[in-house]
Amino acid sequence: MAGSRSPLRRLLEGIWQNRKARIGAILVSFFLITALIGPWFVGDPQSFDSIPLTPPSSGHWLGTTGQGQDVLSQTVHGSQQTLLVAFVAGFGVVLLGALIGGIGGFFGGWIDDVIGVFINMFLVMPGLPLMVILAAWLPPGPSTMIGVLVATGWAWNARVLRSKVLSLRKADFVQAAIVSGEPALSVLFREILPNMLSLLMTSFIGATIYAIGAQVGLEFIGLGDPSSVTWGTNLYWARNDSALLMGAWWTFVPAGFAIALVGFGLTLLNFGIDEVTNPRLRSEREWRNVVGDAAKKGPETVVMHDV
Amino acid sequence: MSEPLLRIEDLEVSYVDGSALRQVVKGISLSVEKHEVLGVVGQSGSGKSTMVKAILRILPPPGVITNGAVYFKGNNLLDAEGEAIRSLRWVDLSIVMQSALNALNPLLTIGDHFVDTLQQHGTQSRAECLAAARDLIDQVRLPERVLASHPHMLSGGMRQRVCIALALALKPDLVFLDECTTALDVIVEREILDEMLALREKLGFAILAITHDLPLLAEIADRVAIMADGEVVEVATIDEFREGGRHPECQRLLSELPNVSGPIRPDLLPRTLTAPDAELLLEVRGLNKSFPQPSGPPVHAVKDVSLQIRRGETVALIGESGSGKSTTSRIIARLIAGDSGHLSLDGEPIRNIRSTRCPRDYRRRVQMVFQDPFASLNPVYTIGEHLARPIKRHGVAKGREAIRKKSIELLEQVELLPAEEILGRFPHELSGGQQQRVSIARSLAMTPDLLITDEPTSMLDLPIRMGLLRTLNRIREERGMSILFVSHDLAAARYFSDRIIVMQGGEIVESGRTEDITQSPKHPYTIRLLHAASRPKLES
Repeated sequence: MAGSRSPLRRLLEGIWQNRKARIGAILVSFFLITALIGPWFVGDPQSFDSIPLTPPSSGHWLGTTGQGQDVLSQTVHGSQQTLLVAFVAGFGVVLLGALIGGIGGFFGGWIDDVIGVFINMFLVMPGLPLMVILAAWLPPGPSTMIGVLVATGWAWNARVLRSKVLSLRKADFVQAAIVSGEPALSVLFREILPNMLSLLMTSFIGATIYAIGAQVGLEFIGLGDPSSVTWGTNLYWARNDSALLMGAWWTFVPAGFAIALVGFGLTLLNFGIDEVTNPRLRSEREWRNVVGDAAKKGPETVVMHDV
Repeated sequence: MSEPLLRIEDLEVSYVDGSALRQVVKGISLSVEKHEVLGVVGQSGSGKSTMVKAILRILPPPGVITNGAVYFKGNNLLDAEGEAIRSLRWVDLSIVMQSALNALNPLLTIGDHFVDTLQQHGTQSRAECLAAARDLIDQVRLPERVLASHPHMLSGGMRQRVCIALALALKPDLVFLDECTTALDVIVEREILDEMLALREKLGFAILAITHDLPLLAEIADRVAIMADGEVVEVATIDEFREGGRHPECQRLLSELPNVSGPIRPDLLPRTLTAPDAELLLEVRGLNKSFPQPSGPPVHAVKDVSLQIRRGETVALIGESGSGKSTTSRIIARLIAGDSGHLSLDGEPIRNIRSTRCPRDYRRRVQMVFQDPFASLNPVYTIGEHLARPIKRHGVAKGREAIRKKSIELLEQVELLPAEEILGRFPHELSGGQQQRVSIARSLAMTPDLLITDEPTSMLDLPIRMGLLRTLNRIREERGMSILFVSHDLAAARYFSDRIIVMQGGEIVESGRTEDITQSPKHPYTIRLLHAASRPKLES
């Protein structure tokens, strides 16, 4: 019996057993590990001592940039800040969204009205221009980047999480907890929140994917800190140094590929969580295999339903 | 004998469960004759719905038909593929589902539904379709303006009538009714069934009705098939069925039915009446509540309601949906605020009726059990965790072992055995009846003086309802607790309660001792309710 395990633990175990989620988790972990220990194994990304724009060779596995930096070293070092900013911003978006949305949905009444207006205000503000203006106006750096991403991204999450809290709040088991004298905060954190774990997790992953895209985009148009090494600034410098015109594909393909793979891994993870929490989505192949076996064992005919 | 309209032979259906097949329909053979009403009864989980879905080939994954044949007018439906099934469905076979709200598309008007259905199977123009729709709508006694409405603008009964009209649109030979009146109030249910039978006389289709409501079947069916655990255990004519059937499952189903008229059956739920002069526990005076509407005037859900509950007494609050009985009970449970009125427990008044705040002691002494057992327990916690919470908070027991002991004691009290094993289970691993017992155990953990039960049995199978009420009654007698039984089920209330209060449209229309209300009702509404609840064919 799974009696003593916490709801979070149960969910995580389910996710590991899902194939899509496992592949996604492995992909994401690969980049996380690269970001953690990779920099020890590659050279200084900021040393300009090589010949600019040399194609991949045994000396520089991924070639050099227009300024003579090692691309491999830049990509590995770049993963550090890019992923840190993305995950922290993703976490911030969900935390802020859950806090504001959750309080609005749970307490209702005038509190919800005020919060609703606030959320709507942020929703109607055009995010992209706001992001560009904020990023240009504030001093560049990772914390600015995180701040900008959270400020422009939290409202949508708040809206989704609010409606989930709203529907769970009306559930009988929540009413039962209130009747049995549970204090409001205990109802929110003990009864409602555990039932939102999968939604919180998918929101977090979704927000992280958004944060990677937005961050790279901002840096690419030069609104990041050009002196730092991230995947976005790598792309910015590749364009600045006219790598594209020179046909120096190795200067932008590694960063682009890394971004795509992280996004892919996170998306797979998201699909996996969906399938674990909603068995109806599980692939049909899974049960067709079982049926095929059964047909051989006994019954003469297997009539499939029409899909 | 000529070939029956529908002949099912050795039908087997399984669900894929992990990496194995779980058989839920285990080789069923049945037939439906022309113009016949065949009733299929069985508890939930007996495979009756799955069988119908398999016949209509609308079995959702992961269900698979693994064996059998279904002959309709001589053709095997299970051989048909793709388009062939589609054209068969609705033209020859149609179905009325349980939930009329989900069966209709909220974006389309009722008229559009008819146009869609008729055009799928013919080449009529929109005008022709609408003309046909007017006839159909008229047949189920709905006004023509309904065609221009959207589903949400209609009541549950009206929507179900629309579904019936849609099912009859293409003049099928066989109509499946899948628990089609379970979600409706008794009076509406009675009306719809009467209409359905009248239409059958007129149009001559056959009906296969599946339900767990035996008395209802006794009213409408020609033959009854009893299903248990994926098998048909008995097929009886209606006369045999009324006499009690042969199979023990059938007899078991019939023996657990409360009757609203006729002599009281002493064995069903024996109880001694509470003395009418017992100490007053809860008093409600002049309670009002209205709900503001986004447009239009507010709905006055509770109008000047006054009632009293004495210590150890069971009071039934009876009414249809929209009668205000649930709102009243929720105000007493302090889940929603009232607009005006007085509420006192043991003579101690609640200071402000307009807020849901109340003393902690009130929260312990007044408990509530909800209607839907599947929503009453938090899916992420085990039964043990559910019970430990209130025990800890109200200081009933301290320390792991003591709490565990207390939890087991509670589960034993609600007859959930083996209690030790149940503690470690999750809600979804229990049946509806078991989950409802857990909910009761949880409220008992606080040793309440008043237990409010909001339709506690309405989502459970008929045969297990009385069992649950017996348990509640035993606990009430042991603890000297009072119960407010909110329900629409007069027959159950007759056996379970000391007094009955009847509500209609937010007002109390009649109240009195149980036998007085059920045997000599005064108010016309009470009389209508009693008439709809009585099943003369089973009670004579």
